[in-house]
Amino acid sequence: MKAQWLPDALQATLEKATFLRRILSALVREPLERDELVSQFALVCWRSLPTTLVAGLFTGAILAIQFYLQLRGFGAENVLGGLNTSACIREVGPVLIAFMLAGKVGAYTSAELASMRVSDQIEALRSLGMHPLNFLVVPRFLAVTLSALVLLCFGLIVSVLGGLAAARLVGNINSTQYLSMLPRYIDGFSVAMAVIKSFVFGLLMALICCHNGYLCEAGTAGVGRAVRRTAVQSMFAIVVVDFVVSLLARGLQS
Amino acid sequence: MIEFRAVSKRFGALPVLHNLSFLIPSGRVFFILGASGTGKSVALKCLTGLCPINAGTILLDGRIISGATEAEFRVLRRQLSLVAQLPALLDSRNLFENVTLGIRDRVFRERAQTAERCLEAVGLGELVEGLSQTFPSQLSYGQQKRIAIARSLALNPDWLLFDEPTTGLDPRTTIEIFRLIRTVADDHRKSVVVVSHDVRNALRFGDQLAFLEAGASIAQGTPDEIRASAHPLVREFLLEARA
Amino acid sequence: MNLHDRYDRTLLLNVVSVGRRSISSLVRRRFSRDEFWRQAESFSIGSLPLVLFSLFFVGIILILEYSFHMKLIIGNDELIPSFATMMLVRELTAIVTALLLTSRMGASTAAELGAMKNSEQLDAYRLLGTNPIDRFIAPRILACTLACVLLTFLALGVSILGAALAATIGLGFEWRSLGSSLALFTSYRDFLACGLKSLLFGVSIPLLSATIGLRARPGAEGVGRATTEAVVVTSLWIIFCDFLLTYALAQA
Repeated sequence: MKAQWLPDALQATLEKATFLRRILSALVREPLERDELVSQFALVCWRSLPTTLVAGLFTGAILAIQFYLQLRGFGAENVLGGLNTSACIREVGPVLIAFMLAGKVGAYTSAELASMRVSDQIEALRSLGMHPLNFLVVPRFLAVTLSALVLLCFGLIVSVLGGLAAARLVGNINSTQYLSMLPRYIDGFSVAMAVIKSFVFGLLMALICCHNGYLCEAGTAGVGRAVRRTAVQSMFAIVVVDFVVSLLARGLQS
Repeated sequence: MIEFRAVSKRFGALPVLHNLSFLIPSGRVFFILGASGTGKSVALKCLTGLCPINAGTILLDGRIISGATEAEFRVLRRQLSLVAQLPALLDSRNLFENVTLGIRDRVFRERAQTAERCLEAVGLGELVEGLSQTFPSQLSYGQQKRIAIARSLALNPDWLLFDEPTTGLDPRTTIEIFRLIRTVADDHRKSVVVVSHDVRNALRFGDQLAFLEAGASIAQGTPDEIRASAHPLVREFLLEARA
Repeated sequence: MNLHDRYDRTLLLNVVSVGRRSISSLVRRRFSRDEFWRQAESFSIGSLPLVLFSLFFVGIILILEYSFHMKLIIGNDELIPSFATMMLVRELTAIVTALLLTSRMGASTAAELGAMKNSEQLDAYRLLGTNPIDRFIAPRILACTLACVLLTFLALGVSILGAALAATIGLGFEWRSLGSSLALFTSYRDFLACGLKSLLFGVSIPLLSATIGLRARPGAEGVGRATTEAVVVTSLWIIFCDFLLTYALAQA
């Protein structure tokens, strides 16, 4: 069973790549379902924003406390604002948002698409001369990918606020001092890294949940299996991509 | 006119259609009958390109359509509209959106008028009032089946294909649906193909009937011709229908 | 006691109710041993690959990030492994493991219990004289808690290994001095803190997921929604708890 793990993973990746090609092909050739896209985007943001804000707030606070304890060791507490925000932008923010997207939106979307597949709704759409991939999948795919960037912005803002509050609580560092460190320690490269990571995470979350839902197995068990696959594949994708991007970033920066 | 020429279809190792050949004339109500599992539904799905066939050709008005691409079938399906056995309405959308799914490119007024007309045609005129507030889950199974028919009618196709339209319905609703199908064919001048195992109502409402057995056609003709048929399997079906 | 008519109240009341009855079941040893072993095995072995894989890379990524930031802040990178280990033990391993386990064990617990409730299996068991808490819920809580603590400590080993490899191969640290370097800022209290966090998270995951699963609305959609809710609520609760614990431990 252990040996089967790698070829299965490779096959899954290949299938996702093929599905991505279908989505991009539909995106280019078919008219965009604008109403669908707008409503899906609103739904994704509505569902993910509250949880992302809460998670971001407390995560920013937690890391601020831990970094403070470490910096205090050699008297560099005053750079806490810069360090915490930089770490949140480069690593924690994108990963946390990807995790939230996978957990809330990913599971829901794959369940929704799988239910439609299993109850023949997708075939009904084909019978009406419609293009189900273009009508259902493309809007959801774009909505999740784009919302990742929106969530990143909001998530980072609240993580700064959370870090700020925690810094005041634990180390008596005032807000001005905290924020003054930001421009010094955050460069364009880190921001670019954050944006690229979030975009790639969003794209992968979208691809994984849409593929598993749209092409799920038949029968009611197919829905459950689609959701479980989405959860597991999302986690692996987050870890692998984060590692690769961080490695590349380090290679490029030195 | 639709023609099946030596069409074969297998699912993996399982053969479903075997050298199936028959002609479906336009402007009539054509019944495809047979026991369960004889490939009737699959024949309709192959016709509309939902399933690819393994051998043979399908022709529409003399033009070969069986090898068409999905994009070409998308255009074809607006003239060859299949109403599946399960209503399969989109449960997250209201009835208005469901009925007008195929005509979203038209202006609102035209969509509303078409929706109203189609609902009247399927005998659900009373739902027109609250169409945008009603959802499929609030309807009975029979009502959902009618909405599915209205949905296909809205495209104004030349051909309407029904896959087991009355399976799972009570006898009274069954007669209503067959009457509706008959009306659609006569008043709206559509060509209709019905897949069913209801031999009795096929004899009553159909213009022509065909019997499938083991994926091939064993008999075809008008109700009178079928009643006079000497084929043993057909006689068996007729006997059960009488009972 | 009817499991059904109470599940319209707030989540907090339900959690307390389930928690109280589970504790009673565990303390009085009325819980199903078979179910406990079955779930313990399924939880630990099932989640092992994901947790070890992920935390190995967390260790590596942490070294990379510390390398970047240390150079920026104090211009010297001698202390990178020390700080990284400190962060892994005190904070990251416990919470990352817990969040991973939430999306696996939490989701499956909520889904199973929701499906059991909707298909009236739980009612059937009660009619046969078996208390669902004893039979299903208490064993899961115990199994999940132990699995979480166990996996967290295994994850510690793996993440520190990843960090060590990244430090030596990637950054050129010496293997010989690495051991002392890693342990420099990390004390036994930090390991206790990690254990405490993993224990608390380990109890929260099954308790919250099971309760939310039992509150599932009817139908497959209800189970699906309960599963998603379980993962989200439990994840947020873990993050919140982590904040409280981190703050409290920082004061100590």
